[in-house]
Amino acid sequence: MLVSYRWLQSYFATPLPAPEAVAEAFIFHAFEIESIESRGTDTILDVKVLPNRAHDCLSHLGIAHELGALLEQPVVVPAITPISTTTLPGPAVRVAAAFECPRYTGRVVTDVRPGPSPAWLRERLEAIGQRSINSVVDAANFVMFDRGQPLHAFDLDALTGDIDVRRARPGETLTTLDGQELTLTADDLIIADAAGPLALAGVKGGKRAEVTEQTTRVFLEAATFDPATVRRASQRHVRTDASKRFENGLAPELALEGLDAFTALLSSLHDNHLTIGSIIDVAAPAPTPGSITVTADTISRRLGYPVAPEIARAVLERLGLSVLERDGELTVTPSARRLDLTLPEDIVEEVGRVLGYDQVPLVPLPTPASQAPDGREFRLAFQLRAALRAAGFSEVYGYAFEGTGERELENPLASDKKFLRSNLSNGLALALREHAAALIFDHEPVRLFEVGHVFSADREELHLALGVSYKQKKYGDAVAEAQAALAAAVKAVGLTGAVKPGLPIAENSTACVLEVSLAGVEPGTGEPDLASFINKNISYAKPSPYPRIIRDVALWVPTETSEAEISAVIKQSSGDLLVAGPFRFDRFEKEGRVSYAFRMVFQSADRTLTDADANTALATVIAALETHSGWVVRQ
Amino acid sequence: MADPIPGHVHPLTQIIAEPVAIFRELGFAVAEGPEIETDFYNFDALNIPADHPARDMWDTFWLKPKAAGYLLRTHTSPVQVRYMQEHQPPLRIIAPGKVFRYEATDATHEAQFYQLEGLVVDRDVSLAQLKHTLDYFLKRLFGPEAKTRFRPSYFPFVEPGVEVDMSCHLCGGQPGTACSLCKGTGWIEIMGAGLVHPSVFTAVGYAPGTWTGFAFGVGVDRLALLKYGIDDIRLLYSRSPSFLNQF
Repeated sequence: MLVSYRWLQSYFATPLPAPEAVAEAFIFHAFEIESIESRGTDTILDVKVLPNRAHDCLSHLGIAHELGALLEQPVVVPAITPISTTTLPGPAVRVAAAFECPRYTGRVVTDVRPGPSPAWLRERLEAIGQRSINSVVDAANFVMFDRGQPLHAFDLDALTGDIDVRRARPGETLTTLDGQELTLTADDLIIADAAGPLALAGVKGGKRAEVTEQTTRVFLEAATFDPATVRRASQRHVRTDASKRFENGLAPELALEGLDAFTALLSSLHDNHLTIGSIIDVAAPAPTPGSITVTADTISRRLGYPVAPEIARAVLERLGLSVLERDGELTVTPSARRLDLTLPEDIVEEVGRVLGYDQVPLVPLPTPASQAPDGREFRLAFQLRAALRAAGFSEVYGYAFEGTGERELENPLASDKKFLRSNLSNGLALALREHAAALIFDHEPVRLFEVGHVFSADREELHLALGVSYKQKKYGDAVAEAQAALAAAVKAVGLTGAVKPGLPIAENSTACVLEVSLAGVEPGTGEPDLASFINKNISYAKPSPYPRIIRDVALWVPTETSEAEISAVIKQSSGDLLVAGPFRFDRFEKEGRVSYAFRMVFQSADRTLTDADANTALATVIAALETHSGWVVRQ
Repeated sequence: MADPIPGHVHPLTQIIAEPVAIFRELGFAVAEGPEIETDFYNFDALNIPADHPARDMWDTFWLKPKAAGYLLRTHTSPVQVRYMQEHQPPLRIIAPGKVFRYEATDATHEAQFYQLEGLVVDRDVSLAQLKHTLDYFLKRLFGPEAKTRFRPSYFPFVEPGVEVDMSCHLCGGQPGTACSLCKGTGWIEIMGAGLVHPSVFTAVGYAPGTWTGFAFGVGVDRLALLKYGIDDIRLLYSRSPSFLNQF
């Protein structure tokens, strides 16, 4: 929520510390601050109010109370001067079900003249990103962002009959203030008159009774609506600042307070020339919030350091709570505003956060009496990984979403990701192809595996899939290798229980993928050696998205020249463009000399290399090699 | 002949293995559960009722038909719920696992990723023990200079709830520098944690008031960024050889 520092300051008789200090108080004791921005003479703090405090802190006054408690600066709330009211003709209000609308307050006000708002009001609203519309609507918005109670005003002359707070009937529609046409459902709670829906309760008003420049008589509404009902309606139709407040639950006390504040502001905007009707208040009996009992000892034990009862009581009183303390036991009566405080644990949090979590010391857990066994799948997966890595297989983690499968998503992210994978083989086959294309030498095998969950129509299972691929059959027998690797892995981990390779084998002349279900398979004995999976020497470099170019170089050297020496010269002379290699792939001796052949992989991080680039790099390497006497590059 | 391609385990396996090894030293066991979950295990049992705004904190994939109430788990907390139903305390578990969020993909967001969550249930568990455990873990993972701090936050299944920050290892935690990782604050947000909410104990069938506990959760991709500098989460779930072969 956007909070104006100047607006906050208006609640304090003494100057607040600088905005950064205010932000710090919040960050370490209450809320995260997403941003702080100066805007002219004001500073706007974006306060992250989470669901637990949304009922009291989505308002400047709520935030001011919290800040006052944290800084120990008293909050001064200007009293709402009592307004003289008179009996004015107007609608009666009927609430169909008390649980849907625990409180509905309203009143008629006449002699209004909606017009441009004064500068101070426009500034307040614009500071927090709200548009000024007219003085009546602006007053309603101001009070909502000030006190947290959403308000509404209807043009009284557009209403017929009495006001009903009820569920919508099939076929009813509502055109909103924005001109959006809503088709209402039986779950939608509406404000209606004899002519039909007037507003989507707690969410948005309708165009029919909109307050315009021509309005002279209004009906003001401040109500409390069932949070779940408003939330469902806002998800169904449109989310608004009002629905956001109602869906978190508001105290019924706030409704009357909001109505009074709205009336007072309207009156002052009209130089007190308004005629104000008496309040209509349809209220279900409000449940009295129960007290919470918690000992200082419990608070100390949960926080992990001693907190004296009087310290705990002082903290809670700073927060505006009424506390009785006796023999170390605290009885806390929550204020009606703090709907989130219902349990001893909530009180532990209030004390802990206000005192500051920097006060919490480091206390080790005791040595446990015993250690439970690790999960079956975890042990199985690590045992298989160890065996397959040793056999030259590399691990892939595939994507769970595919274009085909047996379990379909209600809300897929893309049309080709509508299903959960029913096998690992599809993904592994794609991985084999991608890795084959990236091979540096054509004769090399690709050996990959994955251990992961797959989803059939009625079950979820852990599977193992492994795949072998050669570019050409003459380089190796993928099928035989895959079968041998699977058998060896099964044996190496001592798998008991049947391993059923019942899934399709993607076989063609140069690639083979085998998949087995590990459901019901027990891992071998022994704990997996996790340390062997932790590679401490990784220096990660972001892979380039650009294609690479391969170049070879072969040269004659005297027999005493080492491979490492040649490698070093190649590395040094090829510069940044060399991303892999040099890989020595041939060596033979003839007539007193040795021939070496190396392969180099060139790639740029920021562009596609041309043949010319690669040739230039190669030429530089060749030139460097030839500076060594006795080294002759073969063309 | 050139050397054969050596086998690489996936970086996620490595990134998960190290925290698991550290917690196993503290007596934690690895727990696991299904990736398809029910509304009860993923939300209700964790004090996240239907129609409550807290649900907005997790964008969910639902399976067809929606009315059946099956979803892809949005965190590995359901594993903890299942484990508690099957075991009596005291217990210490760590649950690494694949989770899903209905989110558009970009360099820091993927629809499937991994989380590592932990749970301790015992008598008299405190925030001080939580702080020590996480401080110990982060020092083991990032080095003895790593400092930790708590800030107040909210998650429905813990109370008190905290965000855990670690001192920035890139700039040495000096506030005011133009560090890209911590934006000059000297601190990095790394995980969420708190004391287990009593509603969760009730949901799993423990008698109210008998047990206390703490829980924590960290995104494995966050660890991948901080430990290895992997700054594009999508690479972890791609098949890219130039990525995987570095590990």
